[in-house]
Amino acid sequence: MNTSIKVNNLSFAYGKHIVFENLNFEIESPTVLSILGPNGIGKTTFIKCLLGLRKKTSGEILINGKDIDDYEKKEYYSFVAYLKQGGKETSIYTVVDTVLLGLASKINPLLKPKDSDIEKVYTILNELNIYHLKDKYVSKLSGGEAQMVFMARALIREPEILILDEPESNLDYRNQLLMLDTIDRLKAKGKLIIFNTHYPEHALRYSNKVLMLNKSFGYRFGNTTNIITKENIEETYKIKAVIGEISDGDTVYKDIIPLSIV
Amino acid sequence: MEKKNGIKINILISLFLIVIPIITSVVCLGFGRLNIPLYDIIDFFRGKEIVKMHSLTLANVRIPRIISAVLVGASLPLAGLIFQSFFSNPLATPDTLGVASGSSFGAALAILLGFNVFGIEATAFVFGLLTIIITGITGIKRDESKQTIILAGIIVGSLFQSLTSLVKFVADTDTVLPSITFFLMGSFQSIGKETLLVSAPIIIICIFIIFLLRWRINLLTVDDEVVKTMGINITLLRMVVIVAATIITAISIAMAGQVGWVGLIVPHFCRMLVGENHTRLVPFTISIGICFMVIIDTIARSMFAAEIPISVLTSLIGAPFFIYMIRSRSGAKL
Repeated sequence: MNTSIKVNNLSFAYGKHIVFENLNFEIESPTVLSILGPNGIGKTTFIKCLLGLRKKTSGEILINGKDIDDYEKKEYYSFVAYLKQGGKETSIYTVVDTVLLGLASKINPLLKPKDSDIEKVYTILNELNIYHLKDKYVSKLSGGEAQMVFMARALIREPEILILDEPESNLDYRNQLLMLDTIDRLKAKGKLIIFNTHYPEHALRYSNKVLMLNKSFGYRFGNTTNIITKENIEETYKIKAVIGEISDGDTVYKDIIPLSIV
Repeated sequence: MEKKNGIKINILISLFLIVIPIITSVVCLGFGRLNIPLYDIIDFFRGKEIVKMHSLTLANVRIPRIISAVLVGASLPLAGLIFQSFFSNPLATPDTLGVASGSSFGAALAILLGFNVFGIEATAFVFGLLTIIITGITGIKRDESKQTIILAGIIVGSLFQSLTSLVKFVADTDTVLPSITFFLMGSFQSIGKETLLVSAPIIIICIFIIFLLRWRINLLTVDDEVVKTMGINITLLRMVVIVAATIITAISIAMAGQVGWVGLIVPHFCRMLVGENHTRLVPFTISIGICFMVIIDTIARSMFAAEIPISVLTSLIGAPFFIYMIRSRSGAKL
């Protein structure tokens, strides 16, 4: 069965301060939805509403046809997982112990993880190419490595919906690619992935749907190529930009270059 | 093959953690103003006839005292460990969070009001819990500064210390004041069998609960939002663990008065030894805490003719360790 998210007239406000209002869109797995918008527009608030960490002010969030507020927490989080922004989280434990915690909801509160649980951790570490780090302390790892460990902790829960807050922030080129390729693989496995990003070029390359939040037009939602246009980028970020194509001989890639501030 | 060796090592470590506190306790039974040879102690436990004076001393003085030291030695370090993980703060202990002062006040108040043993322990617990709540509310802010919680603990602690002074001030100078003062100094000397019969089961139950939850306790240090999206009732876990830790703190204090520093030294020593995973930290902290307390108490009562207050000894070891910890930061990763 496909996983679906439908958002109807969703609004969120802190007291009188409206963060966003009347959002409407619908997505179904397999999809990568990227959320774009300037700093402070409410991207993080929006994904926190999706995660059930913030209570929406009005409107509906229907997950597989059922309103998010009608789910038992345990049920909802059995198929939704969350990855925090890179560098915003630390762990005092080793890599294996950190990833094991992802299985906590499946382990009897009074028992320790079994050998089969540890095998699961090894499998996921192998998939993400970080098996060699297994006995290291997370606090001793680089930002990119640590982010992959937290990704492993989210993935070990086998979520159908994965929500990531700026997953490739604070990472170098290589680690960005590692993270984005992982997102790509998950989509190929039929998952629904939602991620915030400050890089329209990542959205362009890795997502098929885009939600663009903006002060002047509220929001735009649609297929990536329809939303990430020169005009929308310029209006959203208040900059001048060019969107061009680069070819390595076989494939043509689209790229965006920000030029100047309006 | 590798796995088999792992299991063997785990069994050996578990055995070690059980046997070492027992050996320490039995050996320490022999020391004191009257030294009792080890074979006499062993004969006593085997039910054989030994010198009357020895058996009386063991049954009425030494054994209750060692049991008290074992209970407090398991409790305060474990409470320290829990508080550290709960607040993600390496400096959090029953002392620095003010829980010790709060519980002391509760106990002193109960003595003033003439409560029985159970009443004293219950009052100590109520005020201990009150302190941790006040400290928590004052100290946990969104600014993520780790020192705020300790500052809050010091402030709340000093508030309760002055309340304790007030209790002493109004207490009857002939009858009540001496017993309050004596109690506050901290000692295993005068803990009676009735006190032990009330305290031991409660402490053992709370420690057992924490022991069972030891793997889950790892979740306490996970980012708040992330842990909520893991489908775990983290609030319930936090409540259970903090209440259990406060109970064992309060009862230890109601039994033996304020024994400073052990809540800091022992958990951090164990972190250096076995790392940060609570599956291992909890049993190590209990076991090493017991050994530490029993040995310290034995030194306190047998080094000089007059007994040295326990807190003097723990401070002598604790303060330098504290300085070392702040300087090096090598142990805790919290």
